[in-house]
Amino acid sequence: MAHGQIEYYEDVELGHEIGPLEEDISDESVVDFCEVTGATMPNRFTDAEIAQRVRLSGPIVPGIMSMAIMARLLTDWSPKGVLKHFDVVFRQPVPHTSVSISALVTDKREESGEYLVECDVYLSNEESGRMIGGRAIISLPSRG
Amino acid sequence: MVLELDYDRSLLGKDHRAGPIEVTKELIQDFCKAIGETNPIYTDEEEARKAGYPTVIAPPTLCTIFLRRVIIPDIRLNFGKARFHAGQVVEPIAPIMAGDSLMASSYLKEVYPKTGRSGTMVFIVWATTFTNQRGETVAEVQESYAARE
Repeated sequence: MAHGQIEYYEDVELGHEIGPLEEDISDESVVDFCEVTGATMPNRFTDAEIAQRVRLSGPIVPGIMSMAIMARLLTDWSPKGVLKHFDVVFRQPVPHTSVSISALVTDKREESGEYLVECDVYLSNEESGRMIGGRAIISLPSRG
Repeated sequence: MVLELDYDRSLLGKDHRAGPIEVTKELIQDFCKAIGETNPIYTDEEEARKAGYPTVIAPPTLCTIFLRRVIIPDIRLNFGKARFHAGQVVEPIAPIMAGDSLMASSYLKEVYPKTGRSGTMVFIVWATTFTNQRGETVAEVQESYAARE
């Protein structure tokens, strides 16, 4: 396993910190993402003028793109784990900028034969603080 | 004072469908590239097979890019002008794999007011179920939109 990754449920402790994953979300990466989704462009995610028309200070990152990058932190951390649940609250729009994604293990339990780890996940940066907060549940293999 | 919400209640629970939606290896690769995902089970057939899958699988939130394939109607809510995407829940149930053909089914789950420090907002929640070509549910998604006064 690569540094910082975990393989088994037994290796995870409460309070374990995951990340941070530092990500530079550029104009180009948002355009690439919008192309994959088939979204009509330009739109509020790619164009400053359109964004301002809907009272945003500039183009923002699509919520589903932020969520996908946040999920990446978890899949990077536990390549053999399976994400079972992921909910997020978009607290404020995320501009095209550098962000930091981190998570904290808040619970672990055996439930219906599955070994589950629960964590709080955040996307933030120094300027805006926590822009997205979420909660994830991951099923991990057990050493039995 | 109790807020009397007016919206098209006939939409509650009513299905809106889209599909089939083809999940290709190329689409999975492009999605991974756009979000910087490098785990080879999403892009390399051999690595996916080593991990026990018949082919490459999709990252857990890929299905969210298909949500807008479902044309959802205006609920004609009589509250607020500004709307924004307030939250989202994704529950992957079974792996979505390259070669899958998905159907999406969305319905209006609930509409409710919530009052906080910044005033009252009304939340509109749409729920979507994705099923594959074998009729298996592969993911459940909920999207919340907030209307502000």
